[in-house]
Amino acid sequence: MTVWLWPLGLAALATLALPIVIHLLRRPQDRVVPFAAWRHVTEQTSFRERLQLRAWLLLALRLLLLAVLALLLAQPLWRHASRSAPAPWLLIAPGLDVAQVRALAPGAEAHWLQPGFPPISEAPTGRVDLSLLRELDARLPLATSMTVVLPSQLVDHDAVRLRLRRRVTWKTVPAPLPVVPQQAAIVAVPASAPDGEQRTVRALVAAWQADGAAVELRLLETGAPLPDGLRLLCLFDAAPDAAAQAWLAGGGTVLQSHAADGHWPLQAQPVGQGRRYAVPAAFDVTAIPALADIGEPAALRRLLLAPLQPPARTLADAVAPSDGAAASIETGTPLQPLLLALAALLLLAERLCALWQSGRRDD
Amino acid sequence: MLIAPELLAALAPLRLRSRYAPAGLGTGFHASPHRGSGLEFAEYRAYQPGDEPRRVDWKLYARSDRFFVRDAERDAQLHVWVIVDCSASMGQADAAAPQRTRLAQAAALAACVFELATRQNDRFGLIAIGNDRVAMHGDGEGRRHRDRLGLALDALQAGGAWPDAAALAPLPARIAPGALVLMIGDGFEPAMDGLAMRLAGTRRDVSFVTLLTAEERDFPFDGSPRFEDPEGAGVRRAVAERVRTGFLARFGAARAERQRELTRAGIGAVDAYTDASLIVPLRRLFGGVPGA
Repeated sequence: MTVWLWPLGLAALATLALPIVIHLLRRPQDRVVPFAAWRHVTEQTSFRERLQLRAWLLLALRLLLLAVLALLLAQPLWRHASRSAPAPWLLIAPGLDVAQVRALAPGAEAHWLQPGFPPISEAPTGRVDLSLLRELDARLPLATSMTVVLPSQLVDHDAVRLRLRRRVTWKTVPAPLPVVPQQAAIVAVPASAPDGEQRTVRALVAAWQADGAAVELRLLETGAPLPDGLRLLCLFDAAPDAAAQAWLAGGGTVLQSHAADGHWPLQAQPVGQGRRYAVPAAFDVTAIPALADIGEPAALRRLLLAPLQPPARTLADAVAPSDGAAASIETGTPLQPLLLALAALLLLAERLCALWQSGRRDD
Repeated sequence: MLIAPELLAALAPLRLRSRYAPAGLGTGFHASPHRGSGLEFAEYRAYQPGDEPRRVDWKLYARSDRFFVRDAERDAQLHVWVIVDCSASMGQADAAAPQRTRLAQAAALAACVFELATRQNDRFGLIAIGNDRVAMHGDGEGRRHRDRLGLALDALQAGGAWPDAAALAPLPARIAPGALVLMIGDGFEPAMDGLAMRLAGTRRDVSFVTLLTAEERDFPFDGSPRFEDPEGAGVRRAVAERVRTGFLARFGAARAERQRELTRAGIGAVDAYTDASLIVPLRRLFGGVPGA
């Protein structure tokens, strides 16, 4: 089987018209023979006679030479088609129904897409890890075809397209998603916080609830543990204790007032993976009249309640490995040396033939 | 070197001879119509007033008391003229041997004739007609004259056409009656044929060697070349393979017709070819018993 690495090169076959035109136009009839007995030669010049192609062998050699050069441009590869293709691999994401998946690719060697690629007779454990495909791609010979079956949505995937050496058959089956329970975001305020600031937060939470957000205000007693689902910790002028600092560095959001580095409007200061907002004075309407503005609660909600974690779900179809450069590397025997030798031979033959023709013409 | 060695060797048995008794004087090779001083005794005849006294045979007078004059066969010199066509068509050669033009063959043939004439003590001259003029290299005898004419033959150039009739008109007067005239041409000059017939009609022994190229004989062309007249008279374009048979038939007929006309005028017409030895036409012209 022949594969063209640069099929556009075949357009050079259009040059085949060139020698035909040359043979039609530059005919040996234009040679002049001095001939005193010319009167006894009958004039005979019909258009068809002139259009007759001469030197068939030479023309054929020239056409062949051009064709070979065009094929050389197209960079052909000879691919050995049926050298006992190895058994294809079927990789199944854990959690999918084996019987349903087997129907997609019968006869393939089925494995779980898991570290060690255990056969499907074993029970699956763990989650889908697409980077395992890279490992397998590097390990298997290129001729082995791979079929990957995944649930239509992936959780906790980095959404980066894989780049593999081979083309992979990428199949998705609709599968039940892991349910993430919807939980109200908790805004915590220490019970010891100043009254005015507590009122401000309460008003904000009320505004957010009225706007449809699942928010819940919770007062924290001193020394009480931080609640689950905490989204915003309003410490105000209190210094964060060890638990609060750990939570903040792990991705929490903290609001503080009377801070030396405070700033209004609010600006996020990153602390670890979390962020800290601070205002220079008290966080209430007397210190910051702008809090009473009608659009302020919505603006503050976007700032303070914004989730820190990016969405962790991906459409499996969207991360199918690209058939990029890595995938399109064709393997096979390059035919260029053969074609080059053939072209050289043809050139030699063409020159000899042309020499012979011109020699015959001089007779 | 105009004559190839083997051709020179083959010339030995050939003799130039005229059908007419040569009118020239001098000690030549040929029988003269006149009797007189010569080496071979012919007859005695009675003295007539006016005979030279030294030609009277005094011994016979002493015996017979009568004057007798001793007549001898008078040897005569033959006048040989070679007329070479030098028009452009004589420059034609076969593609296989571009050096052997018609003119080169004609020069070799003329050189052979001059060689023969030198061996026979004949007088000979060369007339080259072409390039729109007539070039005469006057008659003479001997080796020096032969070599001079050899140089002239070497210098011949084919080109141009035949001159007009006015330039040809003095020619018959320059060629003495009884002379042997050898015309070498390609047969494509009607004026040359006319000159040959005019000379043959006025007691000159005229032979015509028609030099043809092998291409004219065989028509070995392929493809469709343009056949161009060397003298620019015209051009024909044809597919060679298609017209070959027709050409050979037509040209053969034309040659036969011309041959007949020349023969009828008393001209010995012989063909020669650029790719064949010249000994064949020479033998046909001069190969008979040398003679009377």
